Amino acid sequence: MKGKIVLHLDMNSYFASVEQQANPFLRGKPVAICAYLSPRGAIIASSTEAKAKGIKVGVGVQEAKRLAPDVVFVENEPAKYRCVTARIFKIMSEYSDCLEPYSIDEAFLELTGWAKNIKEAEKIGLELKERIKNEVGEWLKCSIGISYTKFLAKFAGDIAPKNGMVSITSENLESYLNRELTDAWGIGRAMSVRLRLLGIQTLLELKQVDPIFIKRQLGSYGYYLWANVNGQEITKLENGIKIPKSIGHSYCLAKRTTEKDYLRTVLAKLCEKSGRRLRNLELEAKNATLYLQYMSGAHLTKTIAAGESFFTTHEFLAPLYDFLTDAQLLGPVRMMAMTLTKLSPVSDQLGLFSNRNKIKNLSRAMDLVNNRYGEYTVTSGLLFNSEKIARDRVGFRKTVSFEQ
Amino acid sequence: MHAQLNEPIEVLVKFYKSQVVPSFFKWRKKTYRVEKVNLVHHEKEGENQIYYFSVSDNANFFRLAFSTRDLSWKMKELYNEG
Repeated sequence: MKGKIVLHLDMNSYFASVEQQANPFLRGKPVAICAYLSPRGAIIASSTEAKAKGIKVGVGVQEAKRLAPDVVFVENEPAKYRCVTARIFKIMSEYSDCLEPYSIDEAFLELTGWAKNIKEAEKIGLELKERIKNEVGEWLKCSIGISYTKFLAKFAGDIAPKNGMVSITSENLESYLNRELTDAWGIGRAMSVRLRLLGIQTLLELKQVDPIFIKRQLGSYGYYLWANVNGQEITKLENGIKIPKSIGHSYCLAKRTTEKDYLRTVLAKLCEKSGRRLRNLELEAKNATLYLQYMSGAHLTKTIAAGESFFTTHEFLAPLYDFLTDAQLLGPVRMMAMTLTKLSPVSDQLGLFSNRNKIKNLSRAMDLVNNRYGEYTVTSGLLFNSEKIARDRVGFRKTVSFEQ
Repeated sequence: MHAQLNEPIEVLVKFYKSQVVPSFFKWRKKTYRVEKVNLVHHEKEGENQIYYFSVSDNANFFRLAFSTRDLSWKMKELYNEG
């Protein structure tokens, strides 16, 4: 569409900045956010001061201490970040009727029809920065990208300096494309190698390549990338929170073990957390997958398919529990994950040969009790003493729900 | 010093532009004046909402928690450079 304007907003060093906003004595210091404050833990986010000292995502706690002895470790607090995100997105939603949350710290805003031109969109961008500073917190900074497609808006936001803003128009597009292939959204290391093998070294060269050639070599994904860097809109913004494609939870075990009792408790907790989210969204799942990763890096996966569908936690926990009980483990397990896939809106259709509505209603009643009196007030005995296992955590992955 | 706490406190708040702003609080027999409210967030515990006020004076960071279930205030966290 001609005259389309999309704005992309990306919060800078988000989790660490929120912590520095809350506690001003952390400002100007290297701050590292960990999922768990244990010596074996890893950094999931860091402040700009910590990044300058080499403390990046994935660095271990011990290594971070070696890089910056004055580093301050803070355990992540998902409720705090979700709350701040909700406030930022609320401010953004005042500028358009179409806001697409992309992750906990990123969102797209459709400004077509709300801003007359890029200049007006830039004014909105500056206003957003100012309002976030004044209404949410003065330490919170963001990068903004503005362009005429969703892809180019994200690209502009990604290449914008910290706390800066970049606008890409059809006139200046090529001046921004003389960059590494991996600077673009959707081009990972493997794809950049494939593009290089075709003689394409930069995004500008990708733009100038023959689209028939790229489609023949890399299929429709190659064409998708070519169209994106040529400013052709492929994906439009999706307003609001979308129904997820999958629901799941993972947990890096506090103790690396082959002990089945412990592993079954972790499994029960992961299933209950996933089941709660499934039912909150009024969805059902067709498949449930268990993933175990050993210390050696090898893994074990099991997918079970539902006869009708999964709705109550027990319906998918029981078969996975039996599988885990019988499984021959090859060594200590370091990580467990469970995922529910093939989701669809819940149906209370009566079965011809079975009636699950009674058990579904029981599950709903238990959820209501837990909503009112707190999580795990009424739950399976398997979860006894599991408070410290797989607590609430948040990542930077694509977010489909956040607190309003 | 960094401490995680869970101690009852007395708080004097003002209602300002539809916001609740803690101004003073009494903890361990000492009264503190809140210089700045840095961040407010909330968390659900069943039907109970807990509002966390991250506040500071010139030397300390405090996290105060207000529970909507029993309208009580607690000191949850203290951080200072001492």
